[in-house]
Amino acid sequence: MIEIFVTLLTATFFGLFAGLMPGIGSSALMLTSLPVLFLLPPELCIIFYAMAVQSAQFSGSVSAINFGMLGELTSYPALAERQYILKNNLQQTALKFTAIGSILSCIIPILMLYPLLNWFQQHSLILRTEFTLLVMLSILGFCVLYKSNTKTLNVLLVSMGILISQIGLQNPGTESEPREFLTFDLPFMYQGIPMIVVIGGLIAMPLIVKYINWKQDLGNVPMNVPLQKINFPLLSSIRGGLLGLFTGLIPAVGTVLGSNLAWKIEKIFFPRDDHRSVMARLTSAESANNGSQITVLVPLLVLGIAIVPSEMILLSVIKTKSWMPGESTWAMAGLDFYQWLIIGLVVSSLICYAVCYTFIKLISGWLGRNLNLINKICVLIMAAAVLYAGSMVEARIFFISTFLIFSAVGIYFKRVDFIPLVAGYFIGDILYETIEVLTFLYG
Amino acid sequence: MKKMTLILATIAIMLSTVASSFSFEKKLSLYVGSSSGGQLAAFQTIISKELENRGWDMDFKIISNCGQVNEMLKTMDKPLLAGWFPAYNTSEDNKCFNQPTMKNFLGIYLSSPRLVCGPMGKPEFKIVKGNTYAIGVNRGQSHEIILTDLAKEIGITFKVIEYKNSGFIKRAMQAKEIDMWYTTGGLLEHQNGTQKCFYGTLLEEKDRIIPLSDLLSKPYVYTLGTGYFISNEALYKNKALKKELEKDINEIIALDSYKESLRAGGAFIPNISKEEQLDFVNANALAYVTQ
Repeated sequence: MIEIFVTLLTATFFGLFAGLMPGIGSSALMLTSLPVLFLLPPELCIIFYAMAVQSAQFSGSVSAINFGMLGELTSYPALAERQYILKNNLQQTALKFTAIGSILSCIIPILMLYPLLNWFQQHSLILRTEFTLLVMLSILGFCVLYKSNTKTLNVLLVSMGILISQIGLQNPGTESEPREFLTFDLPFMYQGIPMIVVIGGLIAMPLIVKYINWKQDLGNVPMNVPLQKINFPLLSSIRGGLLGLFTGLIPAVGTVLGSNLAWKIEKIFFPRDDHRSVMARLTSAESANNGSQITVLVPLLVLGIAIVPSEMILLSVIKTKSWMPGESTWAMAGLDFYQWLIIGLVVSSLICYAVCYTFIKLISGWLGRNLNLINKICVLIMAAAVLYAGSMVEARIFFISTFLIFSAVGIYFKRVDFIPLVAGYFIGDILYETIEVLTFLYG
Repeated sequence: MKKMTLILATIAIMLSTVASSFSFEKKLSLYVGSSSGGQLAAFQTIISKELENRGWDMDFKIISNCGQVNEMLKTMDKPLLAGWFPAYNTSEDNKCFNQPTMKNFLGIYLSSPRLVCGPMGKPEFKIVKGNTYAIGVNRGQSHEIILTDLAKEIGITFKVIEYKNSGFIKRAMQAKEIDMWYTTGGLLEHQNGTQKCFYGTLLEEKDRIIPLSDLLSKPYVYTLGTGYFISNEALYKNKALKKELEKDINEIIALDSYKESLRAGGAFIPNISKEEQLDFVNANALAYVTQ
């Protein structure tokens, strides 16, 4: 029983902290949480992930508004509305509205998650290999169309990701004969390039390094502003939450798309730059953001497919703990996994709200003063996590050296967004297996 | 005097050599080369925990890469135990190839028969003559040969579909992608009356499951899901350590709780001598390639 409370508190505070820190995205959050995740059973790892990422999204907008920093693309709408908010002393109001919007937008998806998962599991069509291929192809499609890079570069990155995923001794430990690819007969290459290295080096490290020497004079950001009397934009919040619910299912870009699309749609309803319109747009975007974080779990829980990088880190951990989608019989104190997930998400939302609302000035001030040091500590924690993951399979030197190489590549090519490569890396194996099964089915 | 010193020195060296091979510290590495999701890793985890309870200082890791563990078996200078599987020994070119001998073999810890079963949750399922059934099997083995002969024998057709592991076979069954499976699961469900199994690589008929050997005329060597332990040189050369370890492993696999876990997984340990176990394991490895 103590495990669940430790998970709940750790995940919420890790997430809150990561969201408030400029530069710590969800992937870096999951990587720095790896030492904790390795200790937990797979079901608690999933609950940890859901709560941590939700808390990070919750507090991420606070970071964007107060620091003016874009930790993740999901906070872009908050950043876009920042000038108006600061100019008109709406910081406290924005915080309150985004907090309420986030809680509201969690409630609908949380309530829908249980029947949605049941529905998915009852419909055999969704478990079929053809459907898995369809999901894979849509991930590839979204990766190619990923806006941060040119289409040609995206194709190249996805192909490189698939290629990297095939390095090593494939199918070792199954009943099939292992297939060797680019191991050069070196035993340390049998393991292949580890996931933690690819995501940590190419995604998390460049983001942390980008903000490592960032300085912000918090004196310029007045926090002691009164709450303004504006009605909470309930309809905007519901619209955003529902939109997030569906965009969360879109691979790779679902969460980013959700918040940005909700913000743009709300601009149609509230095009002006006044207090009410700005708050409506912001609340809708934040609601979509939090809503999508919950539905992003559906493909993982039903098919065992991760569709965003942070979730890929989670999947790689739970796979080592013998987890299979839909197979969980885990229960605690008479409640099953889904019931604890719902309780966890609701409680963590309330903790986030209370902490952000009450201690935001204190936390922001402390983070602002120690940002540089904290970022450096995060780099160290991440390196320690890589070392720890390496020691789990007796390959410490290989893990650390490949992590350094990938980090150097990520930092050197900082203008390239490596998400398509990471997605390609992650679906490489599943794609290969799916095609193989389909050749048996139709071949 | 010189001669005396030489004799004493020789005796001292001999004594220390003998003593070193009989002195030991109960410290052991147990590395799992099989994938973490399977039965093999699960039972090795149980054994590692039980060894710890018996005072062993265990370094237990699920490496999930038999090639890497094989390399460690060759290079590690500390005592290392590893769970092995007959399918790893299909060819010498295989990076996981490690033929067990009496020196490094420490016995079978699990063996599961492969069963031809119908859909989960449908105990009323019947095989109808003339029909074609999609059947899920584990990838990379020669199950198709046995299944084709079985199909001929009972007047049906099997469309064999290979999956990565039994977890994926189960999901394919849920998805109605396959009608039947030929894998190591299903015995408990069959006994509980929630699934119907028809044939299996059993030595004798059990719960109305017919041994394939009774039905097929060719002298097949039927593959079972068999897990066994092998050790590195540092372990088997320390005779006292190996003896103590074998004693403890034998005690663990004789525990009622262990037997119950085996039964729940539809597995057993063949009641034969260690020499026969080794022959059985090697014959199983051969069976993967010579059917």
